[in-house]
Amino acid sequence: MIASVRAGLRAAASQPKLPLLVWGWYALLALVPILPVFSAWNAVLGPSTEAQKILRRFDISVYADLVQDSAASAMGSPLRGLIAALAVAAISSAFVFGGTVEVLGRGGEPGPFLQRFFSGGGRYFGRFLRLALVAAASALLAAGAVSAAVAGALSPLGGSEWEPARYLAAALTAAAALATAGLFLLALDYARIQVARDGSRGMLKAYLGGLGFTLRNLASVFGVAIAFALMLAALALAYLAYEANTPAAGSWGAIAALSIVMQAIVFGRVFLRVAMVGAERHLDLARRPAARPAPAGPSPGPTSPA
Amino acid sequence: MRRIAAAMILALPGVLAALPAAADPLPAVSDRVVQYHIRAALDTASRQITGTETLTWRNPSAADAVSELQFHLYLNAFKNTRTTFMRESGGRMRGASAGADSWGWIDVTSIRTAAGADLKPSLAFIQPDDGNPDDQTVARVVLPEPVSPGRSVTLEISFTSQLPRVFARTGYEGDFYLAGQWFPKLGVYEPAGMRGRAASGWNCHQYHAESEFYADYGTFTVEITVPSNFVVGATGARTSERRHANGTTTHVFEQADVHDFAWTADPDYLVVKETFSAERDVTPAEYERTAKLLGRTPDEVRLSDVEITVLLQPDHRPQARRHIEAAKAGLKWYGLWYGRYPYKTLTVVDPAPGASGAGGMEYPTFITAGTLWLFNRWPFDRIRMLEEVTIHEFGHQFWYALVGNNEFEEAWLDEGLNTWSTAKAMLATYGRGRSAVEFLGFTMDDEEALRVRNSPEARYNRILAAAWDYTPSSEYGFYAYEKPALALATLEGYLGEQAMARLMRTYHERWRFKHPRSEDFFALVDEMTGRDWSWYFDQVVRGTDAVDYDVGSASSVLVKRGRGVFDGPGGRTTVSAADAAKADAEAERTGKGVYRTVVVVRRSGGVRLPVEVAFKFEGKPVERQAWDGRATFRKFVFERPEKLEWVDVDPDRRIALDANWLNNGRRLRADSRPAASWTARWLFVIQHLITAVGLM
Repeated sequence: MIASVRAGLRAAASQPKLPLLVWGWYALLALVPILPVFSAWNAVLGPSTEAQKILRRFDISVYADLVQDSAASAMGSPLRGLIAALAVAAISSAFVFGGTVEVLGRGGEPGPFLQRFFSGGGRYFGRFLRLALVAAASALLAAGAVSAAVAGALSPLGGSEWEPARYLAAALTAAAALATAGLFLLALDYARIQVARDGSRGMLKAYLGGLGFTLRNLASVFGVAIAFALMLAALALAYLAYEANTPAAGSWGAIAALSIVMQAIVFGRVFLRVAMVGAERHLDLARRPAARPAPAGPSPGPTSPA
Repeated sequence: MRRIAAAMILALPGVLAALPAAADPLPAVSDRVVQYHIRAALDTASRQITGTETLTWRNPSAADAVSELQFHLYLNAFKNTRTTFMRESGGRMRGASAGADSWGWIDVTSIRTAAGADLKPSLAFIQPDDGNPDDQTVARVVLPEPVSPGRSVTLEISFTSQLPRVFARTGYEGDFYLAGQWFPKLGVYEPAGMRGRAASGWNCHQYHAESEFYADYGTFTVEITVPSNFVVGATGARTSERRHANGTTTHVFEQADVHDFAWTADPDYLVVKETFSAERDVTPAEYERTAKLLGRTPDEVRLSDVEITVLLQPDHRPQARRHIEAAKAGLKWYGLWYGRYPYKTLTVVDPAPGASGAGGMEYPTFITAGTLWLFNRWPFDRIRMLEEVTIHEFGHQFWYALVGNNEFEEAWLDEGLNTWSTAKAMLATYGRGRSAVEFLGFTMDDEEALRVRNSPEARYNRILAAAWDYTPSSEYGFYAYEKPALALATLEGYLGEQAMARLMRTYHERWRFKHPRSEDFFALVDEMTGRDWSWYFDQVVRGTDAVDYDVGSASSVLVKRGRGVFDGPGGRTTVSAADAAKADAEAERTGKGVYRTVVVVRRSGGVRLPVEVAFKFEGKPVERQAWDGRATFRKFVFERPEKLEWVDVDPDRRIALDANWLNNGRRLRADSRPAASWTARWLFVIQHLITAVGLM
């Protein structure tokens, strides 16, 4: 497991363009809803003398005034933009994952990086999208069923006079739901990795294969996931420490520094995810060394037969 | 409404600061209209309290003989779904819901005069507010003979109170009991003239969802018998304790000069006691500063020691200190500002888990706070909800218990004054900018929080309304709490800190142990300032409109050179288009010339208040001009060599009632930093959302 984590981190570090590209794509998507927000806010805050307060610290009354201000509250389109961006992100995740496994899988081979990424994205897009739908539905159903069962079993704790028991019950229910959803989503990762290795076409069978692999190697699969979750938590803590100990971003320099830190955090998160895919791929190779390799070369199209 | 000179009002702080402080010594005792001696026993199996009550009432009128008495029987609010309380609340209050088939009621089983006359046959339920025949929260009895002015009548009452599962202030949850509004309590007999009444009569309202209480001052001696393993806390001081052979203990509490009595019992309470020391908990500098602010001697503002008892849930043990410190902060600041807390005890109750409906409530010398286990440790311990609730409920000792306004008819007089006072006490204790929350870099103070719900759309209700008349009823919170607090902050903006402090001190002193109404407060403002403030209170307290001043437009442009033929002292000159264009271009290049500055300041809200408008021209100090704020707009025009940098209406933000401060000022050179700073954060949040989905 530790070898896989190391291998994943090495793989991501050896392909720095990969997390950079993924970060850039999602940053671009995020700009779609945020640019109208900036425009609307700047129209109100820019000329306002009161807005200077927020250069010193966040002031909730200024925020309340901003939200109710007629000019700034016309943010329906940014909200629609956010929903659209989330939809595009969800769909494009199949493409991004395809590109990621392709680049990680053929990292040592010659050829331009972008060609490899787009070739992988295109080749697996349709299959990964179908896999994602199957996994999402399964995860949702399973997490719902498990959380209902756990909440039912723990209901005496919820009514306990010992107050922490109520939090414990809620935390255990949430943890059970998260672990279940995590299991089904990790199975999605391994199913996609195996599809990329084996060139499978039947997505339900592929997903069951991923699920089977996950269940057979539960400790290692969750071990890898937990290792990356811990690294992500460390990243979040580092950010919170920065936020808690840095004065409000009042000058352009401070705003730029804050933006850089934030983008570094988002990039770090993308990097860790890419590394995790690398680690999962390494684990799959280690546990299924005899699997049939996928055909090499450029894809004729996402829906063409292998 | 009287037309006023804006400049005179805006200059008031300077004038008022020179006014001598009115010296109203604190009254030592109340009029003591009622005397209650109650003997109550709690049966934990049936959740019932059986009691007997010896009640003596003195007719406070100078002229009326009174032939009937009216009582609050408030536990009947929880009797069924058709009571006025349940109809108005739908069985839900402040996030808590009524338990299924857990009803509360109170039965008067016997009521006789001391002479033995049975009044029970005359007992009848009345519904003075809404005529709801299903509501039994007010009852009257007819006396065998009228009580003459100044004379007393004594009744012997037996009653049984069934406590509901707690969801609205009173009841039980597990072994936790909070008994509020649990005994037959007299209403207030108001002789003609009292609180503006045209005719004498009882003031005894039904129990409403969005209302609290009103009763007369007197003395209470209450004997409470509970199982011996229960810890008991109550209004007043515990004067004795008697253990019985049957495993119960009787706790005796006594308190004079209060108008209600509540108690709690729970075997699990952790008892934390500490004395508020007038010597140690208030510094000499604080006494001196307050005395100077109020224009009194340090002896006049000297406080007295108080025994604080916190009845804490064991799971909240790490928060004991916070409760004590908050109670001490209340005792200190309210005591310094308004007058010494006159009672010897203060009990702070932390309700049991599941009994949050009993939290955040005030009774004389006895308050309920409320917290969560989650807030035991960092970083959640920096969310000062418990401090705010404790200080607020303690503050009601001044605005409700000591100054006993009618909470049904004029809730703003206690909730509004207390919300304003709470914010000041929180700021004084925990610091400006961070008094309410200091959580992982996010900070907020109580004054900022007060403004959050104010908006130009908040203009359909008035502050001065019966508590159950706010529509929708959820507006009660804003119009009884926040808006009055903002109105007082605005008044302070006009009067200045010192004059406001003296006004509030005098109001408290003059009305301690009495029942003022809004007009009494308004009259005192007029009296102390020597001016008629009806223009203010008519709009802000009696009126509905919102306050919103803004800058409609602001421009500052170079005046173009005139073209054509001009007659002047030196004779006739002709300026050609080419010469003028050249001069204009030069002026544009150097920035030197005459700027025509036009600023339009608008009154977008309906409320007309005098304001100041500040102008900042490049290289010049800030200039201020007064505007009476009556017209819908005012245009300011300047022609001078300096360009305008910014203009600001109400630059000192004295008008806390202004629904939107963002539009108060206009910079001619926009600054994108505020929007960039906040947008960067939102981009970060949205990126995480998108990345979470995209990296699935």
